[in-house]
Amino acid sequence: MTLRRFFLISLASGTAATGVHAQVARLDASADLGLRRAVEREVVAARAIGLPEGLLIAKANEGIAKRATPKRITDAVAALGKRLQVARDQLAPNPSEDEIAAGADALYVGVPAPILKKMRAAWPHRSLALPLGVLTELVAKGLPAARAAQVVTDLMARGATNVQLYALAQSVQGDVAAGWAPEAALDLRARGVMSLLPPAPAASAFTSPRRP
Amino acid sequence: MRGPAAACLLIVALNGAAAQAPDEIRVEAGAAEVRQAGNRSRAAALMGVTWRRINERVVTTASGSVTAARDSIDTAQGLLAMRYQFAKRPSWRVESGVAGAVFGLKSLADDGNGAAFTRVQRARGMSGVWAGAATSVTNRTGDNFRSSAYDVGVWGEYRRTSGTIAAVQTRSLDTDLLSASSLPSRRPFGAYIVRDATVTVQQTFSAFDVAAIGTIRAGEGVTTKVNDRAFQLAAAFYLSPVVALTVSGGRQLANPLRALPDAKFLSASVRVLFLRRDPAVLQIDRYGTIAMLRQDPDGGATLTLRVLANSAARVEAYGSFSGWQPVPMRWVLDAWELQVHLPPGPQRVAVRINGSQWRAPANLTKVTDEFGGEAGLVVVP
Repeated sequence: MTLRRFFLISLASGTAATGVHAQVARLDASADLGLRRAVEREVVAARAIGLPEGLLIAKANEGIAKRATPKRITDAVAALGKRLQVARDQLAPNPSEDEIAAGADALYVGVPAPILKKMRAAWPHRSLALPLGVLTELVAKGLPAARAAQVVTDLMARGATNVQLYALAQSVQGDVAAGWAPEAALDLRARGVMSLLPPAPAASAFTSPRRP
Repeated sequence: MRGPAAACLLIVALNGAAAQAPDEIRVEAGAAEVRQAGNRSRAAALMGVTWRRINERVVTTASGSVTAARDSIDTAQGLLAMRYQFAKRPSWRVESGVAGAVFGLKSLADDGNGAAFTRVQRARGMSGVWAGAATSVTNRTGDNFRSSAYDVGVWGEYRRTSGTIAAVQTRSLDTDLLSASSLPSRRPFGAYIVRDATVTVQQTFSAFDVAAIGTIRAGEGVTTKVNDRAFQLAAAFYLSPVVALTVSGGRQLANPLRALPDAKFLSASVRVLFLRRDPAVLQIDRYGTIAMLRQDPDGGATLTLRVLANSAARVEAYGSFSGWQPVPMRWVLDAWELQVHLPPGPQRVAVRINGSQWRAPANLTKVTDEFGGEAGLVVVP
């Protein structure tokens, strides 16, 4: 190893370490040393595989603000790290940080991981942050994940816009607040959006065949 | 009507100073003891309704009130005002409105007043300045009397204290108002000018608010003295977040623009706040918390959180927008409020009162976190 190469490697590793320390410095000052080190480990691991580590710090700060125990915070940060990794993989090839975060949120409320892949297939070149947020909201409201995902991906494949998906979620929320069953509200509102979209292609790769 | 001017009391406040919610209705009912200068006291019943709606950049306020006393002070009046906020210069606002009143309900067609006003406001943080102009016509038994006014003022707010200082010059031909004073300073003929300086201070205490209004007047005698002063005191006691008992009293100097005579009054009323329960937009549940989302033209959205809690409470909000650090909410007129800009995507927010459990705003989808808490999910388009 030449002296120049050794110098460059030292510089690179020093910069990376500085970056991790800069991230962990954003951790709430009340975090004790043990928690700080545990979070730092997760941040280093996330950085190594290219995950947005700022979300891990935010999750740790959330736990500190909510006065959770250090173990619970560490577990939550580690679990988020795993969800981020799954989301990143399912939303491949080049998901944005917002998409990965939204994907992790969707996984947290119970959306199965393969659905993220189907959504990416439906919108390969457009941001999935909002559709994933809509799906998360619908599932958190009590709709079965598979049904909600099918409706959202169908609408995406049919060319629905972000605005239409957002309006769908708002309408369902209003209907549920008014006393409707979530599934009935989703079906009704989805038909409303669908009626505004161009006809479906002959065969859709994203929906299961339906009986006549 | 000649001789004593028709009274037009403004006891049921048309100040429109209601809190900001998409649709809001206030109903106020009570009683008052009124003594117009040079006359004996009268008992009056009061009833008022104020409606307010906030759209993208327009705030619309409409109100109406009735003062019933089986006397010439019987009055019905209404107000419609709109305030517009400029998109490119959000610190600038223009407010315009019209107001109308009829006096002596037994002879509706005889006496009335119509006024229009425009104000330009420039806000800077928790303070601002304004300048405005107004014009009116008062009809008394077929004769029209014109009045006009110019006003400038400043307002400011620091913690739980707010205040305004205003200067108004009014020119009027409403000489009947001169006659309504027990000791008019001159013969009621021709135009006259009055100049007022008014200071208003409002302080919020635990469970009640107090406001004091002092006015110094220089000019010709529409009141008992050439140079006069008046003082009013008002208080609101909150029985619950939406019900308040209000009391007010003092002296109101004659106002030629609105045809208000010089009078002393003491009033008490009950005020009830109704928020439209539109399930698609807002709800109030037992926590009295609502969240409203408004898309911003340059991306993201502005989230407004409002909590109907006691004014002495400590109300905080937090969420992904603050890195889960608690942010104190601000007391705005009659509720706790916080406005934050949110980037596109899913966001989570929660509020708490007096350090208790964090709660999701009622109209948002609730999600639980890994720490046993709950938050409201907001998807920002």
